[in-house]
Amino acid sequence: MNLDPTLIAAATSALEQGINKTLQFDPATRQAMAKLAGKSLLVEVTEPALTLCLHFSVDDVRVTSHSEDATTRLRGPLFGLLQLAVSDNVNLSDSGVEAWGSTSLLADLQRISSQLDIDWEDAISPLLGDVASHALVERLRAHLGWVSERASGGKRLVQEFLTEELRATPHRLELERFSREVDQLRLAADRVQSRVERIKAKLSQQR
Amino acid sequence: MSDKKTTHFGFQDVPVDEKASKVADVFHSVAAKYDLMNDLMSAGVHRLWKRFTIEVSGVRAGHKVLDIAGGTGDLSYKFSKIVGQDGLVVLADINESMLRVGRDRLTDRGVSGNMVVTQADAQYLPFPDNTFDCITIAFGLRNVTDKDLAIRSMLRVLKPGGRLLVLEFSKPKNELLSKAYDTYSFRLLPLMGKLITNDADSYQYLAESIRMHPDQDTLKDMMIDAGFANCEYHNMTGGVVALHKGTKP
Repeated sequence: MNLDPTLIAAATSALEQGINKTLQFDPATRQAMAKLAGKSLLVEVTEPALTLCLHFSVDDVRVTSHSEDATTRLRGPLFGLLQLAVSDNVNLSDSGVEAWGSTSLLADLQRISSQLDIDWEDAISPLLGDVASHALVERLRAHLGWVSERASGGKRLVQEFLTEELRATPHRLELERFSREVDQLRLAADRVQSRVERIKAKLSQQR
Repeated sequence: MSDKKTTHFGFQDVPVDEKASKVADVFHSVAAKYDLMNDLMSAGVHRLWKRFTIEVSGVRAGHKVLDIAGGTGDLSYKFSKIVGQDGLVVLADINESMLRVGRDRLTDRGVSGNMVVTQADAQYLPFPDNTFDCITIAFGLRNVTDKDLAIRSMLRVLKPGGRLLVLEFSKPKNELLSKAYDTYSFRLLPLMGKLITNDADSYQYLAESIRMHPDQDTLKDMMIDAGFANCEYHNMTGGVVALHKGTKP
């Protein structure tokens, strides 16, 4: 089904405003994101069909419904993409997700999102006032802290078992290094190819 | 009988050399409250139409963009952020009043360094051949006296591979929507113009000029005839507005 571009623009506009508004309450993440300026991530969801592209700039993030020259392109079902987004490992195997372009952008984004620390107190204080928002956020923080401690403990155990004991999945650092090496190899291959093209052109001129 | 060539100004026929000054009068009159009226008339949806135009433009850092009939600078502001300090945005409009509002607004928003403001006629663009990566004309083409001449002028100043984007009111695809749109345009628009800007005539002209503008397929054919390649259009809000795209071969 082809959606009217007006609706698509409304959705991307709302998402963009949401992201940028949230980033206002996390200066460290905003600063880290500024280092990605000029890069873009295209996400093509196959089921349901949906395309979104995040363009990073020094000041903000721009969201569009398509892009022709994204730095990195991800394609796969929604579940696989969500799994990739919440997982600590940059592991595309078994997720049904395909990636093109620079995979180091994915690693950078995962690192940045893992350090996300939004100052919710600052965000809701204009609505509830300083005292009420402090009390509310403190209470939520205490509950969430307990939950995330339990969750991360269990997750760490499973992770260690899978990577160290079973060696079923590579460690995040191993994969990051591998991804950097693949990027370097790709660049080297591109350079070799252009040299070969140049030599071929010279040879054909000499004939 | 006079053999003077005529063109349409809304539903009236006027001599060709008078249309530009009549259109200029309309925009001198509405310039001060142009943005407010746009928001009211379209319920803010014109921002979404412009947003989609920017998406389709494919403009990126370092590009040179010409925003014709740029008026109060909505598109130019967004483009100036995308092209960065290595790029250039030229905000052009034939109307001095609109241009002054646009220039002041962009200055107030801190745009500088990569923006040039120029008064220019879309039919005779004062730029060298092959200058721009992208040209946009949003809600401006229907006011141009000779549209074919303007499209050819845009083709000339575009770089090969560059894109022309024409955002303009068009013909709704659905009969019911078309009837509702007619009622809105001819009854409500002039009334809103009267209440807010005390100028019903200008908004009557707006509604009439929309009806006289070529429909989606005719405009696409005009672009092809001028020499553009890969011409296509996207209907927005049921065809109330269409975005035409063409590439210079």
